[in-house]
Amino acid sequence: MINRTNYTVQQSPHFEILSENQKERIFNGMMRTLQYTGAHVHHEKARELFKKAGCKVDGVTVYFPPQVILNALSTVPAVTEIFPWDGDDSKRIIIEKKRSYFGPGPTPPNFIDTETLERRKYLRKDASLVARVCDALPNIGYVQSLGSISDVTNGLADVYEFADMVRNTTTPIMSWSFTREGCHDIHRMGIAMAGGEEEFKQRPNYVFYGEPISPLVSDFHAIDKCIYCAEHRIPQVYSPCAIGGGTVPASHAGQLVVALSESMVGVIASQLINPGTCVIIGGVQSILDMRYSVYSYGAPELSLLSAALTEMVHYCNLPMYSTAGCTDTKKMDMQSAMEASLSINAAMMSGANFVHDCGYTESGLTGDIFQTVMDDEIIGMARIIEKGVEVNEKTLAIDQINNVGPGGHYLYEEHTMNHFKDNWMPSLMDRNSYEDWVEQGSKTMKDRIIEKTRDLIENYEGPRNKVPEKADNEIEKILQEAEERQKKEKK
Amino acid sequence: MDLSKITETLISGKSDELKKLVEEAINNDVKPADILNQGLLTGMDAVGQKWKAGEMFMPEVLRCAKAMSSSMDVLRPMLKDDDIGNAGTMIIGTVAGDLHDIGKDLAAMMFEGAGYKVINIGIDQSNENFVNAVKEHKPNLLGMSALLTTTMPRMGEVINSLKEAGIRDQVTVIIGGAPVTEEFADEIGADLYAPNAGTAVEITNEYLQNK
Amino acid sequence: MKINQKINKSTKFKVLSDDQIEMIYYAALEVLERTGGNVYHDGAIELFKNSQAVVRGNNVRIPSFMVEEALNYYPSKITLAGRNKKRSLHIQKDTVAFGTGSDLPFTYDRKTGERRRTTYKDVNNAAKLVDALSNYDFLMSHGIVSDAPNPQTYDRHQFMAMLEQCTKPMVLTSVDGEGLEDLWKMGCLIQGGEEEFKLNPLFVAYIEPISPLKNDRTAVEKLLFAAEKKLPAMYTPCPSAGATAPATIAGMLVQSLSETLLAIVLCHLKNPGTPLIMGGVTTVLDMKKSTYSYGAPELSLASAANTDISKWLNLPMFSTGGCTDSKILDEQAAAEQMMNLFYSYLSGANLIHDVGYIDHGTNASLESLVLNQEMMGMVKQFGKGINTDDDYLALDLIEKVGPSGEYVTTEHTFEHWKEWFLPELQDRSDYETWKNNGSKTMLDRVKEKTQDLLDNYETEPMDEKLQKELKDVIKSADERHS
Repeated sequence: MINRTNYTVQQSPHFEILSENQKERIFNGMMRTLQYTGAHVHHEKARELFKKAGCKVDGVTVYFPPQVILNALSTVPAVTEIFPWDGDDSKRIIIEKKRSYFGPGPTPPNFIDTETLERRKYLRKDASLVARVCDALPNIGYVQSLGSISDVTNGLADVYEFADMVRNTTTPIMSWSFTREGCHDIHRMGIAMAGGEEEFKQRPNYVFYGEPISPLVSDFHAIDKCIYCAEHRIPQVYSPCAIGGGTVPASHAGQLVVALSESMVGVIASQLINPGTCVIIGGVQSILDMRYSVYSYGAPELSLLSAALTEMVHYCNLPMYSTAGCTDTKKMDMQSAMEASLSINAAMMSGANFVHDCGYTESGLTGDIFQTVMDDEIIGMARIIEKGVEVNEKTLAIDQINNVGPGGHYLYEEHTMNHFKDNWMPSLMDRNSYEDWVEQGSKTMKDRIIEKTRDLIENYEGPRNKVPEKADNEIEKILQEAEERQKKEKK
Repeated sequence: MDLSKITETLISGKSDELKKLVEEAINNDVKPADILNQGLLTGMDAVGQKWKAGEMFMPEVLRCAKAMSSSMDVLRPMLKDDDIGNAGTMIIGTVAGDLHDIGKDLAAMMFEGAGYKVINIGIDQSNENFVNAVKEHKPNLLGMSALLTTTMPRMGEVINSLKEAGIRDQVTVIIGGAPVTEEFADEIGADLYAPNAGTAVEITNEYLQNK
Repeated sequence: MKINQKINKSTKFKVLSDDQIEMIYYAALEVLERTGGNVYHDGAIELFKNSQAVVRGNNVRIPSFMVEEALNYYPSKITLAGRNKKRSLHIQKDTVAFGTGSDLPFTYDRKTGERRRTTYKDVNNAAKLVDALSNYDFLMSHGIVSDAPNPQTYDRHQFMAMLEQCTKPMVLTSVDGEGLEDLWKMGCLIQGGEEEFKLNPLFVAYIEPISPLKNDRTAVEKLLFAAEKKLPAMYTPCPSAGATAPATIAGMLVQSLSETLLAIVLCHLKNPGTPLIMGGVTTVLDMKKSTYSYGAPELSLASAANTDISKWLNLPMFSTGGCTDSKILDEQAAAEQMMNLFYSYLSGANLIHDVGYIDHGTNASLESLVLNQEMMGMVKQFGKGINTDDDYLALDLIEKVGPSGEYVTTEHTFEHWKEWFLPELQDRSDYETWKNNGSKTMLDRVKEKTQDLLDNYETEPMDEKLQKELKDVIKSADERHS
C-alpha cells in the first residue's frame, strides 16, 4: 500500500464552457436587464406582490432591483427530492448540482404510431403507453408525455394525461396544465397517489412544468400556475423556449441573458409566495434555422447554449432544466441519432439536473417513443463518461501487468473477472462480427429499436395493477368532476 | 455417483473443485467416458449455449474452459481413443512475421474447453515448424491465424508445405484472424474458416461429425 | 472596457486530475523498471545493452531516469506540409486535427451493399474525398491496397494511391523498415530533397507495438529508421482492456504509456530529439462477442484520459474518433461516431484518426467519410464556446427590443446568425417541404453527396515528372521483392 497525501481526484468529468469572469458578466447582464428593461407580467396580483417587495411597476412592466433578485436566490433550496409513489427509492430523484436525470418532453401535437410507424395526432392511449415504456427504460429518470392528447374533452388533455401516466409508471412525472384548475386537479391526483396531503409534502411525487414567453413576458396563466405551485410547495419548472435570432438575440451571450432574466421572474414570484419552495429554470435554448424558419432541435447550438445556461443556472445555485435527445428529422434515421448523441453527451457533461425532450422529433412537433428508446441507450453510454476513470492501486494493476508480462494476456486474470462488468454492456448497439451480423439478419439499429419497443409495449406490464384501489377511485372521481366543470364552463 | 455435480461445478468455473470431483469419480470407478460425456461435455454444451444466448461473458466462459482442460489432464490418460470422439489433438499457432497472439490464444482456450488437447506452438512460426509439429504430435486439427494482411498469405504457404511433406490429408486445417474470410480460406485450400474464437469450436465439431 | 478578464475561448474538458495523471505516470515507470518490455530486434537490444537499461534475453527493463532524460529532449512542435507545400498541419499544444484511419481490409461496396476486399481504386477515392472535405486535416489510407503485386510492397502502392488524389499531409503505415525507407524516399522527392523534407515533413510514420509490452522486429526497424532521419513518427499501442491489457481503464493506460515510453527511450538512444507522438486506440474487448470495440463509450473515456496524460507530459497525442462497430451506416454508426468525435475533440488531442471507420475497424466506407464531415462540423461548433464581449452580451439591444418584441429583423441578428453552424446534410425543413422533396433520409443525402464529389471533384494534379520518379521507387521495390 502506498500512502498518499494532499491528493485530488476528478470524480466525474464535466466540462467548463464559461470562465468565472464570463459567468459574472452574464449574471450582471441579467440583473441589469431586469432592473432597466424589466419584464411584462400579465397578472395583477403578481404585480402587486412584486411592488410590495420593492419592484417598480409601470403598467404591465415590472422592474426588479438587484436586491429582490438576490433575496429570491438566497431562499431556493440547495437540495429537493422527488419520490416514486410506490416507495421504491431506486427511482428517487435528488435535485442537486451535477446530478442528471433524462426524460421525454411535453405536448407535441403529433405522435409516431407504434404499429404503422406513421405520424398521426397524439391520442389518449399514447400517454399510458409512453409512461409504461419509460417505466421500463433504465436510463429514463423522469417522465413526460411526448404529446398533447387530442381525443378527450377540450381543455382536459392535461388532466387525462397525468391520470393515465401516473398509474402506468412509478418513475416521477413532470406534468403541465392549461390553467390553475388543471393544476389543482393534477395536484389532487398527486396527493391521492402519495396517500394524503401531509404525505405529499413529505414525499412529493411529481414536478410541475410551466413556461414564460420570450422575450421577457409572463402571461397570466404561466404566473398564475407558478403561484399555485409555490403555495402548495410543488416543485416546479419555470423556463422559456428561447429562439436565437427570433425571440432572443442571435448572439449566444445575449440569449443567455434574456433566458435567465425571464425565468428569474418565476423564481422571484415563487420565493415571495413561499420561501424555500423548489423552482427549476432553464428551458429549450436553440436557434431559428434561417433557411426554413424552423426552431431547430438538432442544431449544435442547442447543445452549446444548454450547456452554457446550465453553468449559469448552477452559478445562481438553482437547478437546471435542460434539453437533449431531440432531432429535426421527420423519420428516424442517422440524423436523429447523431443529433441526439451530441446533445445527450453535451447535457451529461454539463451536469444539468433534468434533461428533457428525449423523443422529440420533427423539431418538437412529433413525439416518437422509438427515439426515446434509442436515447435511453445513448444516455447509458454517456453515463460511462460521467463515471470517469477510477485511479487507485487496484485499477492501476501494476501487479497484474507484471504477472502477465510482455506477450501474455489478461483473460484468465482474477482482476479481469472482477472488473470487466464495470464496462458498459450494450442492448441496442451491435458488436457482432460481420458474419454473425449477416447470419442474424443484417439488422439496422432502427430494426432493433422497433423490436425492442414493441416487445416492451406487448410484454412489459408496468405498475398499473399496483395502484392502490383508493387512489385509483379518487383519480376517476377527479376526472369526472373535471368533465362536469368543463360542461358548465361551456354553458 | 451423481455426475450432474460435475456438470454444475464446471458451469460455475471452479477449477480446483472440479478436478477433485473428477478424481473422486475416477476413484469410485465411474467409467471415464461417462465422466467426459455425461459430466464434462454436458457442462461445456450448456456453457456454449449460454454464451450464444448472451447470458455468459468471455472471461466466464474461459474460466469454464480452463476448468475443463485441467480436469482433462487428469482424465485423458484413462480414456480410450473411441471415448474422445472428435475431440482429439490440435496444433495451433500464428504464422511467421506475425507477433499477434490474442486471437489465437482465445481460440486455443475454447478448443481446450471443448476437450481437445491443444498444443500451442506460439507466434511467429515458420512453415517448417508447423510441418514438424504436425509430424511430431500427429494432430487431427491444425489452426492458424494472422492479423496482418501482409502475413495472411503465409497460411497458404504452410498448407503447401504440408502438401509437399505429404501430410496435408492427416489434418483438418482451420484458419482465422481479422482480415481473413471464407473466400480466402477456400483460395488457399484450408478446410474451415471461423469468423471468431467463439464459433470456431462449433464449426469444427460440426465438420468433423459429418466428415 | 474591462481588464484582467479570463475568458474561455473554447470548451474546457478534462477527465483526470493532475494527481491522477501523476499516479498513472509513476505506475508506468514502475512497470518499466519491474516488468519491462520485450524487444525482438538485435540492433535495439544492442543499444539498450550499451545504456543503463537492464537486458535479459529479449526483455529490457528501464530505470526511470532514462525515461525522464529522453522526455527532456522532446520537440514540442511538429509541422507537416502536404504535397501542395502548404504548411497546414501544426501539431503543438492544444491544436486539434481530424483524419481518417488506415489499412481496412474490407470496403463497403456502394453498388452491391456488401463488403469486399479493398483495392487501389478505393484508397484513391477515399483520398479524393479527404482532399475535398474541409474538416479533414490529414489523410490515412482508410483502406488497404490488396491488389498490389506483392503484399510486401503494398505500402508504396498505397502511398501512391493516396498522393494521386490528396494534397493534404498524411500518416502512413509501412510493411517494415525497408518499406518506410522507400516511403521516406518518395516523400523527399516530393518535398524537394532530404533537407526540405526535414523542415516540411509530408507525413508521420505510423508504428505500433503489440500489447502487452511487445515490440516486434518490423516495428523496431521502423522506429530506428525514423529516429535516424528525425522523421516524425508515432508509437501507438492498441490494447483491449480485459484481453491484451488490464480490464480497468487506469491499468490499460498504465500499460499503454509504458509501451510508448519504452519507444521514446529507444529513439533517444538512437538519436536524441526524435519527434515521437504518443497515443493509440484504447478500448475494451466486448466480452459477449469477443470483438475489439470501436464504438464503446470506454474508447471515448480512455482516449480522453490518455490525452490528458499526453498534455501533462507535453507530448503530442494521436487519438481516436469518428468510428463505430456498426456494419453499415445506420443510427448506431451515427450515434457512436458522433460520441467519440465529441470527446476526442473536446479533450484536445492533436491528431484524431479513424474518422469514418465502420464494422469495428475492419470495413471502409466512403459514405461514412462524407457523413463524418457534417458531424465534425457540429462538434467544432460546440467547441467554440460562448463569446461574452459587449456586442455579444447585447444588453443595449435587449433593452431596445424590450419585453414581447422580436429579433428577426434587427441588424444584430443579420450580423450574427452567420456565426452559426450551417448544415449541409442535416435536414431542418418542415414536414411538408421534406415530403415534397421526396422524404429523403440522411443516408440518401450522404449517398448523393458522395457520388457528386467522386464524379465532379478534381484534386490538384501532381507533376508528371515527379510521378514518374515516384513510380521508379515503387518499381524497384517490386523488383527486389519479386
